[in-house]
Amino acid sequence: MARIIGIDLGTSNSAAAVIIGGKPTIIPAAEGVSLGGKTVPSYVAFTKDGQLLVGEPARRQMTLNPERTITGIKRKMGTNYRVRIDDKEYTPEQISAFILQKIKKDAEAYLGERVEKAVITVPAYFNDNQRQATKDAGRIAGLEVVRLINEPTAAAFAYGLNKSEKELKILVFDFGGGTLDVTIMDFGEGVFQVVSTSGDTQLGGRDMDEALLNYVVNDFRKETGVDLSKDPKALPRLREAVEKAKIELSSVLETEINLPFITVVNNEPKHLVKRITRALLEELVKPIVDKCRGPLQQALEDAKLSPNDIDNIILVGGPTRMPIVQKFIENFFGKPPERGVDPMECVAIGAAIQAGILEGSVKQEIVLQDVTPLTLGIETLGGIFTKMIDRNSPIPIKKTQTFTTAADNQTSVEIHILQGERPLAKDNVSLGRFILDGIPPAPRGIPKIEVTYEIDENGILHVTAKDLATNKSQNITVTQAVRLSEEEVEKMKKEAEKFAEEDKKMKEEIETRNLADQILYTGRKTLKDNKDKVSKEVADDAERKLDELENLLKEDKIDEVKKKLDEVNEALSKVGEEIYKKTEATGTGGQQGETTQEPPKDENKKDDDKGTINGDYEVK
Amino acid sequence: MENREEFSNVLFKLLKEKQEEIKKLKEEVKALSLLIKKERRDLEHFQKRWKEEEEERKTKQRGEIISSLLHIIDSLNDAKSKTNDENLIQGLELIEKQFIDFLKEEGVEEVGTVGEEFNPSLHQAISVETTNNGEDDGKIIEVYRKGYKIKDFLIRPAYVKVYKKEVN
Repeated sequence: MARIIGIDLGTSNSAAAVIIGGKPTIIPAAEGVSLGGKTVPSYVAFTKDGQLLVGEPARRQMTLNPERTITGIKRKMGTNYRVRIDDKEYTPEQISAFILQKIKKDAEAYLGERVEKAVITVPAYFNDNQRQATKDAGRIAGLEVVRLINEPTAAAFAYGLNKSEKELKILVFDFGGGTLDVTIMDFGEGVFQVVSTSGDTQLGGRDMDEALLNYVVNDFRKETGVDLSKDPKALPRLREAVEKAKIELSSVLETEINLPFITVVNNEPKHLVKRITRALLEELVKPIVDKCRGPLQQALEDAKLSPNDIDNIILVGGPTRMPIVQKFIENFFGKPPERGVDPMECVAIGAAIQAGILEGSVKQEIVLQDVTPLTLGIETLGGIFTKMIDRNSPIPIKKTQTFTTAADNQTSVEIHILQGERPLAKDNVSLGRFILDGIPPAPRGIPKIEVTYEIDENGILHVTAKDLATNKSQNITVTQAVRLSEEEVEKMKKEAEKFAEEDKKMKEEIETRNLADQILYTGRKTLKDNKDKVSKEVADDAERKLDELENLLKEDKIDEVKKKLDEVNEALSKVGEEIYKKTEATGTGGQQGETTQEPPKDENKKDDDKGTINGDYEVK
Repeated sequence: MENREEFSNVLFKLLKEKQEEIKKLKEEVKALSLLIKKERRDLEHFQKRWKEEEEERKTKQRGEIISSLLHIIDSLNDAKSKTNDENLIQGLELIEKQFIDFLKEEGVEEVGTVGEEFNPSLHQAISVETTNNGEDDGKIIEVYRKGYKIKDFLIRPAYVKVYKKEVN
């Protein structure tokens, strides 16, 4: 029942949302809430040391490092455009994937679980190439894109228009930081159909900020003769103050920009104090708002509709929060736009709702199927964790493997059940253990012990071990331990990643040790059983090398053990050759023969038949 | 007799129908109980998270309140740098100190100092000066506006001017 997240992969900003407890919730960026809200700036950068930066940090170093900073990559999706950074080339898909990867990571941190599926939004006018590229970007980022939906459709979802019984004509007015997109859609019988699109790629909220900033700068220049736009120290502060004033003027009628000591003229400090009214701001941005009329008319014309035909108007993008924009829309259509959803979050929320529907639509089959959060396994020779049921396997599930003994005449085995992602048993969580005894004495490797792990639909694990010779079996039921909390699961997975290298080395060492032990055993047995068939010279050589191997093993010199193993194998294959020849010559059926070579299984540790301990099995 | 047979047929059919219905209902119950389990797990997870993150949330809230006070310290800084009146500067410094002490008490730290390596998770590059000296590459030359952080939460980045090595 993996969760599906909704992603608004935007030109200048991206955002993600997910359904939690039935409600769409915006996933905050890990950097915390910044001026742009909860969104992630769609910036990717590589530092001079080759470090990858995504989002807010990438944006902050843009001025310093423009040649290694990428923004607006969305405009290049589905083209042959390549980003060249130092000596590497990146496709637009790869760059977008970096942004998606960051969103995925933030979502995983927020949800405390793995995120592998997403619904991603694209502009209505995206062609097949651009859509495919977006899907590929998802795949590169490790996300299965279960669906792409049009941004205006997502916006309509956010307002619940997809639940309408009536047929609707919907106009989505998406006025972003730098672009305007107008889309008209037909809705009927659960389907949204794009009728027409129009827009202006050079029109947006940034123009409005610029208009107000220019006004304040000019005003100050007239008063003092100082051009603040040339002062790198004053300008960013002024820009911030202007943006703040603009936002405030959406809710109040008058505000003040107050920057004392902003500059010095003839040794005299100058203060910038300016009252700004909403009326003034509206006068300044009116030309920009008026420019929206063209694309609106164009879209209507292409759809052969008049403003009166539109049933619902949806506003998307920060600048649509401004009363002047809302008034303009209301005047144009003769009815107010839809209200209630943050226009900055609208598209991401709609994507999350679509994701939720997709989760829900498969409820009967998949969503209701629980999965095991972590791998379940058994301890085998040398403390190795052998997997029985992989993590994320849907339950109910049943898996069986056959193991054997590690010592001659071993009459009992211990089944140690563990859960976790680390290759060594000791690093995982023990869920329980039991002993299967009464195994008839036999050389090691001969008994067959069948171990079955079964998780029923309630998440309860039943483990059974059966000696196939006697049909004697033992079992245990593990109830609560399979259900770790999400935090524990996450912690264990993280540990597994963190220690992956170390663990791998340890595991290899144990495997080498097990292998050496196995070869010692079978090699000596072969020599003993075939004394008469092997020349003394060959036998002595093999014997000597086996002794050397044993010593190295005792001294725990693993690297040398590895090297020695090759020599031993070589010596033993000579032994095998002679036995084979002799056997063939004398015509006695060759049931002894081959010894080493094929990588043997586990083994070690004499623990005779005291009916106890130690996971000494081998995987068949 | 015939009636009776018919009657039992009807009963039998009814029984079968009911059995089917029960089977279906049982399946539904099973599906729903699994769904409830999933929802409960979600709820538990978020309740636990909510509790665990309480401290973090408080820090962020404090950071947000402090952030709206910071323009006062910016203005004080500006005032100091733009006057020659020693006495006034001294007074302004004392006000600034009051403010800085308050920030310290709240656990707020300044970020951005001259000579420090530019770090995009704390600093925002506003302008750049080229240099031939490779040593200086990426170092902060001037802090236009100090940044502040509270624990791991960046209240606002420092606005800085940075050296950049000339590329030929």
